[in-house]
Amino acid sequence: MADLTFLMNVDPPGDSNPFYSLAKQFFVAAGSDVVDAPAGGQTLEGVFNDLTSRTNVPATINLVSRASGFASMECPVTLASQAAGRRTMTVDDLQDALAAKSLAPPGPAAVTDKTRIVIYGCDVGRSESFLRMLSGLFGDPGEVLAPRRLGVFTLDGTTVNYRQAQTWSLVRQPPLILDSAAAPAGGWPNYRTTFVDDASLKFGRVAIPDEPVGTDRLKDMLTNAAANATTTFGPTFFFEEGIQIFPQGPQSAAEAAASLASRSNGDPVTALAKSALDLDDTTVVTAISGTDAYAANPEKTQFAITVAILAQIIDQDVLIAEGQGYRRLTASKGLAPSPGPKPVGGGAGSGGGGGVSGTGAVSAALQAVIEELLADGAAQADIDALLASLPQGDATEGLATEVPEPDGPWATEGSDYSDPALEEPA
Amino acid sequence: MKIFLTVTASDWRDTPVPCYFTATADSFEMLSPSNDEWGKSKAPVYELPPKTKEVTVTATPIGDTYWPRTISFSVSDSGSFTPDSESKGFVGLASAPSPQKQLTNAKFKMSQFQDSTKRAVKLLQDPPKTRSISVGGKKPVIKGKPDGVDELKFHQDRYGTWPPTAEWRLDGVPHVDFLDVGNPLTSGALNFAPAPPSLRTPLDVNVDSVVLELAGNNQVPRFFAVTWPRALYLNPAPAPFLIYIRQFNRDNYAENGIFVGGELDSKPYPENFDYADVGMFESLHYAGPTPDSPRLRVRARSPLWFPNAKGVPYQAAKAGANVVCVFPCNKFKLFEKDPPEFGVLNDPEATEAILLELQAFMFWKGLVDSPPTSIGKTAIAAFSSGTFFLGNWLKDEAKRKGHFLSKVVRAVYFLEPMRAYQDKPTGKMVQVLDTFVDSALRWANQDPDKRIRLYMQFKWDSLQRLIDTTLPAPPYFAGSSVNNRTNRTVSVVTNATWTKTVGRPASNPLPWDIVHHAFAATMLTHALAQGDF
Repeated sequence: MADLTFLMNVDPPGDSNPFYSLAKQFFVAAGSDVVDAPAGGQTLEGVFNDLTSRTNVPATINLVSRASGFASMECPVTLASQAAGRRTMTVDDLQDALAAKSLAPPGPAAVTDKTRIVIYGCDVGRSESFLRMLSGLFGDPGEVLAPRRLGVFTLDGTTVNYRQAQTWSLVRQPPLILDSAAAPAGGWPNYRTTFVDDASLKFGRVAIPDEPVGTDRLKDMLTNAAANATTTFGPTFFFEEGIQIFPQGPQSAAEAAASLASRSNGDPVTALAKSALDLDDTTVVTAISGTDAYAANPEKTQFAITVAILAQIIDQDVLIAEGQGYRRLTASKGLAPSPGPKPVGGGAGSGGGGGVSGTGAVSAALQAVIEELLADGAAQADIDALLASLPQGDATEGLATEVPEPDGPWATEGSDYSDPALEEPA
Repeated sequence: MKIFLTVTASDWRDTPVPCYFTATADSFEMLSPSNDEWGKSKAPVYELPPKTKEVTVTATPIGDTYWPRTISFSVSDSGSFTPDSESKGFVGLASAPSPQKQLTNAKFKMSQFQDSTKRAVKLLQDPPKTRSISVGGKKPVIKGKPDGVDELKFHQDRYGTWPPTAEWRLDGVPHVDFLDVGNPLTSGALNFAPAPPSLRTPLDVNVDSVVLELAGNNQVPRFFAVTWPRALYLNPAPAPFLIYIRQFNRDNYAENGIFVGGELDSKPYPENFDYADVGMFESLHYAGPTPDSPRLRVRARSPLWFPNAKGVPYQAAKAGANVVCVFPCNKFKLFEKDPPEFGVLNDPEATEAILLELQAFMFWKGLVDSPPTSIGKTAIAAFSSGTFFLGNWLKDEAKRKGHFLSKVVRAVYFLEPMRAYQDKPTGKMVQVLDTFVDSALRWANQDPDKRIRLYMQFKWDSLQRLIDTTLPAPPYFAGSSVNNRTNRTVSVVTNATWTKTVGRPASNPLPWDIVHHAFAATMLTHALAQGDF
């Protein structure tokens, strides 16, 4: 059965990055059943209402939404919150909805342990709690997959591709582009140089043991990415995420800003980046707090925090599976998140009592060690991560080596070889 | 602290590669509970002896599709593992700690390629002292008259210094002239200009130049020379490729005792001087500087005085094409029963699989953890009899519709294609260029963005089918556009123009083979500058 795809909103007029319209083209071409956003935008409640109205819900449900690294999607949780002016869905919103039971799950007729929810958008996969709560609201589907990187839809001729981008975020004051200016204050070259210097400092703080070329690789990568980037959407570009801070009740805007709890654009990264080339927003998180806020208007009735982001599109198909590009959250509580591929017969990979066989199956010996570690207080998440890193799938077959086709007939136009003995007098 | 180590192996798709593992801890053999044979395990779980400082693990694949790999790890007191610096890109580590224990999985990244650059350089240092030259004019020569040859002097004359020392270097080429792509003809002669400053210093600064070796018994091709722009490591996207298909060996070298015959028969493919030199080095480099000899066959600046050396990566750099150049080393097909010279590459889908494998190896080498799952825009350049290889791909409808030719290959370059050959059984001449043109058009008609570029020294009627406008009298560089892109190029530059270019009188034309080779040594710059990547 075809996938079911929900577009959570529509593109603003004149947007140089027509995210939703290209997404629609992409999923229609892929044969998906696409549900447009209603006027004013989709909500999670609207998605649930659609699902419960269907008699035959497919196993894969795609949610296409602009999103931010600070774990928010462009769809309010409920129709009521949308009517009250909410435009996004954050971790706090999800938590509130779960606590207040303000949104009933679609139910087993629509969502089962075989259902797969796939988010197309940006970064929200960096927050495990966001995914856990979203999974909870859906009623614990089989798995939820969400991007750890910025996601875009790009046009190649008439074909739309889904791509991810490597990004580097910096907290910045003031905004990247002021009002309707064409370039940042000081001009693009100056902005790029400063951004690259600051980003090199920030992302380069992570020590990479035995890095053969040293920190210059990071700076080269950033310089290369920033070289032609502007705010126009392209292979590389700048954009920014802003957080508007409004006072509540008797608070002043400044007090509201000062009281803002620290938050980050992803969970703390525990794995060390292997190379300077891996130093980006997926391996170094950006935290913001009230101290990063600045007055967004002369009256100081509104404060804001601005994060400027340099993005470089990775021009390859996105693998929707656990990895640097996507986080996979399963509802099962077992030790091994990997389903374990089917074993192959014979000697290849059919090891019995050891660690991980050639087919990726976890052995009794490894299971025993894992249980030993868990008994000693190892975190289940660490064990899950280790198991998720094991190779998956069937053993690889080799390249073809038998090709019967002839190369071609004999040449007749003479030898290609210049014989040194044939030198002629000058 | 109890420290456990489990080891797995996978390919670039993260698919398991079945292996036997052996391991030592501070040089003492380690055993796993699951040893299948003494010391060997397919799925080991090692418990390290207390205070282990170094662990060395060898993964030996079952079968010959992948190369074995050995990695040494230093082990910290807290149980963390650090691979040796050369192996860092070829292993992934994941750990799960508890207060008193630590479990680490070392996932070996197994490749069907290994870096054999040093071996290739060593082959260049061991030229034959005699060659089995044809005495009866029959091809191929198996037993000819052994003649003494001074390859050292010959190569010193051609390349200035010889042999190359420790590295497979791409030195600067201040002595080389390049075709002016924007204005290739002036006053009836080809317009060459000296190398720009960027090519006067070694290309090694920006390009990794290596020889990779494909695993597998009797694998053909076995060696692949590769030049890889280092900028690709900075943005790990699918890499654009140029595959350069040189001429067949048997057609051209049988009479000269090159590749096979005499003492070379004790050093079969690809383990002799000629496979490293003529088979790869010559395609990568330019000869020169021009020696100060009064007996030069052709008096001209490089590359025209010795155009056997093609300088392909230099031409790519001059054209501004940031592509990976791949040079498969074809095997001399001695007998009819032997596999075809380019072996497995005769299947385009297998070629794509090899490029994916090659791409993964190079990205791992550059410490990119997750190689792209596809390859970028690809062009195939075929020279001389190598155009038959390309023609065989294009004339086959199944191949044309396969993924590689229909989705990945964007451009095909014919460099001095043959026009005809003599069919041995009938003795009749068979026109082949018409077939090449027809096949290439059928391929290009699948997608308006496919590009065909053809450069040769003789006029031929069917070339007109590639171009919208009427072709002029030679010399010319003609193009046709589709969707504002120049998707077709046809160039005919006759011997008279080349002769005039090097300043020789028309009465003393250049030898045919000099002009023939000069096309590949110079015109690729033009093809690569047309925006095909």
